[in-house]
Amino acid sequence: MPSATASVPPPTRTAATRNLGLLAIAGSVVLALLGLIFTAEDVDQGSSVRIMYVHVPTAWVAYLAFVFTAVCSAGHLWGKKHSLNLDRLAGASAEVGVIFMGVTLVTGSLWGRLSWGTYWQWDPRLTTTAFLFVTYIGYLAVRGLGGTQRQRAKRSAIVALFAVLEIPLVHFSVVIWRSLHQQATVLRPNGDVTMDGLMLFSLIFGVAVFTTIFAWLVLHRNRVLAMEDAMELRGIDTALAARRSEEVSS
Amino acid sequence: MKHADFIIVSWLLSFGPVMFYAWRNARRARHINPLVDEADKPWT
Amino acid sequence: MSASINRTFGIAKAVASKDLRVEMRSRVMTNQILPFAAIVMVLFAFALDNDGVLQRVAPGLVWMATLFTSLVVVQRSFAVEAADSAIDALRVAGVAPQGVYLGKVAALVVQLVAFEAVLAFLALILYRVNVDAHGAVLLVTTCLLGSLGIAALAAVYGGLSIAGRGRETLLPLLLLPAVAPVLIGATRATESAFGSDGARVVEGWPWVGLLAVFGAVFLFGGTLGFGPLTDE
Repeated sequence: MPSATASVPPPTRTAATRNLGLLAIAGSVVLALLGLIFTAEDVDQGSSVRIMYVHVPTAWVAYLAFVFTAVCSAGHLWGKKHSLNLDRLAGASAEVGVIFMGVTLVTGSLWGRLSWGTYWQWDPRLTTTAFLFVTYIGYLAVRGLGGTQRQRAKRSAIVALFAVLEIPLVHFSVVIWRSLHQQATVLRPNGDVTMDGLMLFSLIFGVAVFTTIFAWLVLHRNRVLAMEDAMELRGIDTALAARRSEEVSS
Repeated sequence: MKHADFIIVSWLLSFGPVMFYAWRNARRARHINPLVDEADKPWT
Repeated sequence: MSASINRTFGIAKAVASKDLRVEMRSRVMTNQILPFAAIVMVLFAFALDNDGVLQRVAPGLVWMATLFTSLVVVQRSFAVEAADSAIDALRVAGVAPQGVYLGKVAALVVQLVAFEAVLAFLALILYRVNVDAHGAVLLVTTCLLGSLGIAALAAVYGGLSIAGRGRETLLPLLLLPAVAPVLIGATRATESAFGSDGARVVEGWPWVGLLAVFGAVFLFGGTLGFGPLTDE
């Protein structure tokens, strides 16, 4: 079998994903021009506001991904068919969400270093995000537990719904925990700054671009997961047969 | 590091891991493709 | 309807008393886990090496020790079920999973409260904290509700870890982030009970409310989720 090269389009590609991908690339280029060159520096934050054009959209996508995971999980559990495809969508979305959440934490702390003077603050939003990150790493570990695909789907759907219950409780308890402590004495402007028209547009545009990237990634990932499941179900025999014929011919 | 470095690093970090993930996913897809029936790929 | 609820509670009682009897007979609790908890409390004292600091952070240490001990206790509680596929036998016998879940939670709460009593006692002696009568009431309530919150979640994730046999390492990853509200609430309430850092006892009660909400939410969620999670 010839080794696959990057020039061969991946088998998960369709016209729709190809257009979505091109849209994402074009959007990213425009976002970079807007965010890094055309927008002005912020009055309070200076040039560090340029981090916001990627930080806010990745945070948005991360939360969107986890909501999507929860919705797909609920759909799997309560849907009549107990669709395995919904389970795979939930899994794909959670994977992408974990990546974006990690990115959000890193870019957030870089922004914090510039604006607060410190990489980490026990800010409720930040702390909740870190908890979400770990919680969904746990969710992905549950997906990898093994067993049949039905077992995996049911198990991970329940864990996803538990995670959704946990998040508001964690956030709420961190908020009241912080409200009792003295705030750190570093310079601490709020993340929400007053923005002029172009800045606000860039931010919203960034959210749109990253949502496109999210959709593109999830579609591709979902299809790979479907292929993996199909391979697991009936590919074992095929693979064995292929293996045997190889041995005979060599 | 200067402000500019922080900003460049942030932007690279926002796109880099995503591209790596997409690349790895595509590689996996090509790798297992010969083992999957066309019937199991409803999107084609 | 009420008959089936009665039956569920009957099962819960049977499971709980079975679990506690297993623990009593095996003596692992008293001979291994309790000494482990005690040495952790002593090691905290070595690590922090300052009476003032110890008194201030004593509530946090008690609850950190409780959390880590709870991991061991939960793993044991479900190792018993996984051994000889005892849980499969329960399932085949058609025992209501809600009953099994509530029984597991009840047994865990009893064991955790016993631990917390020992840990709090050790804190009184080793870290020289003081508790008055009102503080003692707050402390007992905190221990009960805090243990309920931990047990309600831990029983779900413990059930998961037997479903995927041999993956006990998953339990801390799932449980510890989820019980963060319990750690926050219980620590603050215990601070008030101990009077650490000038906290007053009345300030502790709102935190008890947080613990109650947490316990109720996950006891409800666990009752619904435990069955589908373990039946396969």
